[in-house]
Amino acid sequence: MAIFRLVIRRLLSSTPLLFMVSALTFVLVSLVPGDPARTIVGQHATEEQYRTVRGQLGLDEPLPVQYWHWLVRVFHGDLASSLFSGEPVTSVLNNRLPVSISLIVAGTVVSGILGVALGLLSARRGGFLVRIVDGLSLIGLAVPAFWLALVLIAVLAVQLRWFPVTGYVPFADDPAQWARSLVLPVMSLSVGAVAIIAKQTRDSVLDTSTRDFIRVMQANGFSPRSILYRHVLRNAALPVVTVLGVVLVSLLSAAVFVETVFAMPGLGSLTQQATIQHDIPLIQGAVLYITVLVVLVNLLVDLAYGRLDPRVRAA
Amino acid sequence: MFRQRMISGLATLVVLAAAATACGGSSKESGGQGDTLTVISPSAPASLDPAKANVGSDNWFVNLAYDTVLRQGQDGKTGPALATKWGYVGTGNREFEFTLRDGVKFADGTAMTAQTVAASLNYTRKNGLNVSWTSAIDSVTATGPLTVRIHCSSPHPNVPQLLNQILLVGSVISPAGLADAKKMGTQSFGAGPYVLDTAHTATGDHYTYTPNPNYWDKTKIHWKKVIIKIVANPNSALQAVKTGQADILGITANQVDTATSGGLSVIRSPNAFLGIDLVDRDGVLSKPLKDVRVRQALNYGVDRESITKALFQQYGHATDQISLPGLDGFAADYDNHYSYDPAKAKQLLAAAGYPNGFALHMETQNFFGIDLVTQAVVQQWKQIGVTTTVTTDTSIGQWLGNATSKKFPALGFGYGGASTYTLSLDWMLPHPTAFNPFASQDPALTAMLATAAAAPQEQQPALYQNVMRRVVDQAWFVSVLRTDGIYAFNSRKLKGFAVAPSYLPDLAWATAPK
Repeated sequence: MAIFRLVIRRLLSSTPLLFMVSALTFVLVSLVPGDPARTIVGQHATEEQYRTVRGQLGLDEPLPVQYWHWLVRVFHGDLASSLFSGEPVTSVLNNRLPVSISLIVAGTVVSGILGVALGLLSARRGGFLVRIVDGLSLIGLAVPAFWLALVLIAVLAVQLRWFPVTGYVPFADDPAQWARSLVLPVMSLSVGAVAIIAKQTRDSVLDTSTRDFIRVMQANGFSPRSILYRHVLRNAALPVVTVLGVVLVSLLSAAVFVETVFAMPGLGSLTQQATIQHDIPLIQGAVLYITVLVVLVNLLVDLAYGRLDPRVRAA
Repeated sequence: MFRQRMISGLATLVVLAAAATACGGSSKESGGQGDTLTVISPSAPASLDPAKANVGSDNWFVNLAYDTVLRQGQDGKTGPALATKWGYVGTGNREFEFTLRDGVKFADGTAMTAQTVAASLNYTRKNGLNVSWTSAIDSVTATGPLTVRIHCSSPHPNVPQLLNQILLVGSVISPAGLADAKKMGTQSFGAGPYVLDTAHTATGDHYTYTPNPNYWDKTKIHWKKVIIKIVANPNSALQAVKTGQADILGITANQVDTATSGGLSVIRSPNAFLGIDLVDRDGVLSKPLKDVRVRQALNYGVDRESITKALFQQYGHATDQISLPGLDGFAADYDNHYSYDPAKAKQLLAAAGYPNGFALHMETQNFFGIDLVTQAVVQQWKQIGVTTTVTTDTSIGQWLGNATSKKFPALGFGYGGASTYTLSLDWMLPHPTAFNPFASQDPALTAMLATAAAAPQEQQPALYQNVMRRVVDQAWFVSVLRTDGIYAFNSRKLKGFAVAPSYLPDLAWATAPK
């Protein structure tokens, strides 16, 4: 019940955020030079055709009115249609969502597992491994995802031909090809995240290991394995979960580049195309979806806190 | 609990890795197999509606599903397609008639008649974006079960070109499509060799075409499936073709070596010209541009050879005109009319009353290297005392807005090769367009164009070459170079894939498996 209340409270408190983000996006898009009606009618159209299209799209109305119309449609469950293809925005976004979700969830799982494993190893073994984790962290943070993507394509796709250069295969079509199409994009996305999580895990584990209650357990003869997995890790997990939440959100933005390089039909590449074309309904819809994703990730992090720390649950 | 989660997480990773490894040995993609042609396009089509698609960038998407009234061959000649007979009626290029092939059906099984074709052409000329090309046409009517007549209010010498697969106007749309025009943006309603398979198409990502069971000539259907995949990143696109994931793509000059070293064949042909359009010829914003000597000085002040070599190597050619070899208006003797001569440029500026040069504000676009050409020209103009500030547009909408705003006396341009009649509608006739926003007029030029438009076909090239000489003499622009359209493709798998001036590689009819 407490969890249910937490979820409701968090979702309600996110509503103003959705308003603010959508309004801000509307203003920012309108500030970018260029007119979608001009792009649609092209270079040979008459001024009359241009004005007609502008009127049909509602672009001749004042900005607040345009936003209000959009908002009213959203409340009716309609995100309008793309200015260019004419397809309903909801349908376009629903087709794209599984791609981005696959990419980001796989990226988070891989970076979470590898990051925690590396961090634990480094905390337990120390010495040379610490320096390796630190070095990898620096490299991971310094290497941009899109550059890494190009290198991975050149080596693993072009030279060795292990993976496809571009494209995405839906899970329902072929699970094995789906996994194969995700390997290079997920690798590109995860390197930086693995580094951050590994470093956070190591620091957190080392910090918890020196706490008094751990020393007492050690003095009472608890096995080192039991202390590490049952107590140290559980306590060290809180900051790691926080970082994981931040990493997941940052993967959303990195996915824009990675999806473009690998020609994956996800939300990121769609947002990029829509921004270039000034497809306002599509941009608004994509931003709305992405904002909801960020809200859900934060909610999951909060729930994970509650699960890991009884004090948070009580609060 | 944590341990359990770690174990399940590791298990997921193992499954992913196992799946990846299991597939790793197979390097063959579906595009590399004989029955599927996979083509890469850098951008999604503006629309699949032939009337609203972009000529040039969207042709492949439209041509696969829509046959046109006539067909242009690689040699530039017009041949039969849905029409078997065609021609102007009488003199003056105002009446044009064609006879349709008997027994043709649309992909949905509806019979194609003269009425359906006339309705399609009327829809396109009234709703199409390229309205200037069809503005001379005032009626399209069925004059028999299979004959259609086009009547023009003024001479239109390019009706056959208008009806071919390059300019898209002649793409015949079925009655079902015309009845619900909105659907044409995402579905196909044609009589082409293929139909759009909407179940296997994702807008903006890939477009799948399958054979049209009702096609009138099944020998022209060479593929069980044609897929056009959108890959915006040029490096990824080239690598996809190199690894066999796709078969064809357009490339830039600096990708040619990578393509050939990867075993791909490369073809090219002049397809566009780039330069600076001196649009304020009446000196409304920039008084110096009113003087033809100033405009000529700006031409003499540009070292076209060095700019071409630096920017496009052997894939460009310096030129002073806005036509391409093989097109009716190309005047070979005017390719180097303004040879680089800064001293002469300064003399002309001094004679016009600007011995110290002048300042100019202009617009350019960051597509297709237009901004690079602009920057190079601006640097060279400094040597003759002309200092230029440049506003660079980053989107098509921004460019069209600025180009037509009449706020810039000069505009950077890139323009695909076209017949001189079509070119004149954008560049030379006194009505406002993105290439002639101030609607400049030159009565002598307008008269020359009127004469050429009404002349018999065999006399037109000579007349249009004189038009080109006139407009170059008047220095309405500083054309700098023409560039090649370059394509890389897998020649071990394909044949018939070719390009020529004003001709796009024909996927629908000509590109076949070896």
